Amino acid sequence: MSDYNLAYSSRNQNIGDTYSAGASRNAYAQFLARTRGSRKVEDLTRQYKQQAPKLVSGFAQRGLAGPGVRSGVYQNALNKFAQQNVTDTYRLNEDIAGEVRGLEFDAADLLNKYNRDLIDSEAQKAADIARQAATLNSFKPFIGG
Amino acid sequence: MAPKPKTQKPKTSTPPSPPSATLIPQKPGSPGYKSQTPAPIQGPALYGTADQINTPEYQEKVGAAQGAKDAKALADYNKKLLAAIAAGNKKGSGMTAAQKAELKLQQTQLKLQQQQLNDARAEAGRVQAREDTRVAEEAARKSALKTNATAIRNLLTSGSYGTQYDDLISQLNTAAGTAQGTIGSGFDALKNMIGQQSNPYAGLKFQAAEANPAMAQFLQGQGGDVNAFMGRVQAENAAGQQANQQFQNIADLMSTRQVSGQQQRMADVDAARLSALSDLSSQQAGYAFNFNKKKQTERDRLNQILLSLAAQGVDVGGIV
Repeated sequence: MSDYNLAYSSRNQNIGDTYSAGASRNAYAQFLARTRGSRKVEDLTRQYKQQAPKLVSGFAQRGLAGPGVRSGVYQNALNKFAQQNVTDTYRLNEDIAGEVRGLEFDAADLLNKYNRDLIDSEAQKAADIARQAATLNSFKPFIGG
Repeated sequence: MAPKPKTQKPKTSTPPSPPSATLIPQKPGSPGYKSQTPAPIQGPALYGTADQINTPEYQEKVGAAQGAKDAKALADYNKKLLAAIAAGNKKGSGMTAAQKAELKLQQTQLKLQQQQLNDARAEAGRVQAREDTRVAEEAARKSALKTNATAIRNLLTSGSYGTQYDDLISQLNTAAGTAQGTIGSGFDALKNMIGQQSNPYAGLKFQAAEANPAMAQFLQGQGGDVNAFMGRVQAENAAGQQANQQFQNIADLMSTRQVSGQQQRMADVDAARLSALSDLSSQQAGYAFNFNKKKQTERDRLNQILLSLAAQGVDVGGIV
């Protein structure tokens, strides 16, 4: 029995170590994905904030924008600018969410594999112990002759 | 000793009427003198004839009493012969030389008979001694065999002949009980471990991507079409929700499969436990059968010994 305990204890330790390492990498990857994503969102937002006044001033210099001025060209440019902003921010957020979803799935798969490997190891151990116990080997010498 | 020839039972000769040795000499010419030829002295009636006296049958059948009787008869006969010879040797006995020679011949024959009888009696004694020894040895042998038979019978009736096998079966049952416990606890621990494992997919709740409506304020300040803008925002958000829900459905499906898989694994553990216990039971039954068979073989062996002793004439009291 002690031989079984040593062998399977070592195997289970390896399974746990493998999972721990993978889970750690996954958690860090999620952190990086969210962090990088946030930065990209901030950068995009800043970019549009910087572009907005330039858009207005450009049309204002041509007399197409300003108080009391109603210009269809300017309206179209504004709407297009705003919708582009929506599209760009949404796509960026979707990319970030997609990356995070994939990493979360990976984390679940890692945990699932860890559980299954552990079950397989313990099941093998239980089966070996049961097989050894069932043979009642100590009585074999009394059968011969 | 020479093999005993088959001979007929010797017939005991009927002794004639007691002889009378009429050897009283008479003076020739005296009145009434008659030339008398002494009547021959008859030999004694022995158990066997002279030819039979030295045979193995005589040696076997003659008893000490009969041998002594025959020896006395011969001794008495010898006395008569000696007396007759002495009387004949006296001067004026009137015994002829032929008669004296006849007496001498009888005496010689008598001595031969006596020698033969002595040899026969000695051999009979040796035969009897050997027979006595054989009977004593046979009795001792049978006594020893009887003791063995009694001991064997005691083993069988008390059941102690199978004590070692009974002990083995008892140890076997104890070991099987222990093994049952070992198997049961091992599989119980496994089943508990499976039941306590968390569902990795149960906590997966994905976040849908969202469109940023912050530009609406700028748009409104510049006189742009806020309604169209917000419509676009809602459309993008709806698309995001739909895409996210597809991933969520996959996660929920994985979670459901995980639960059913866990139940299946626990059922597999129960099946494995039953299989192991069945193997154990088979092994236990096999060993017990073997031990009982060996016990029965030992019983049969001891009974066979009793039968063998009974065939040799020992009173074993029947088989058990």
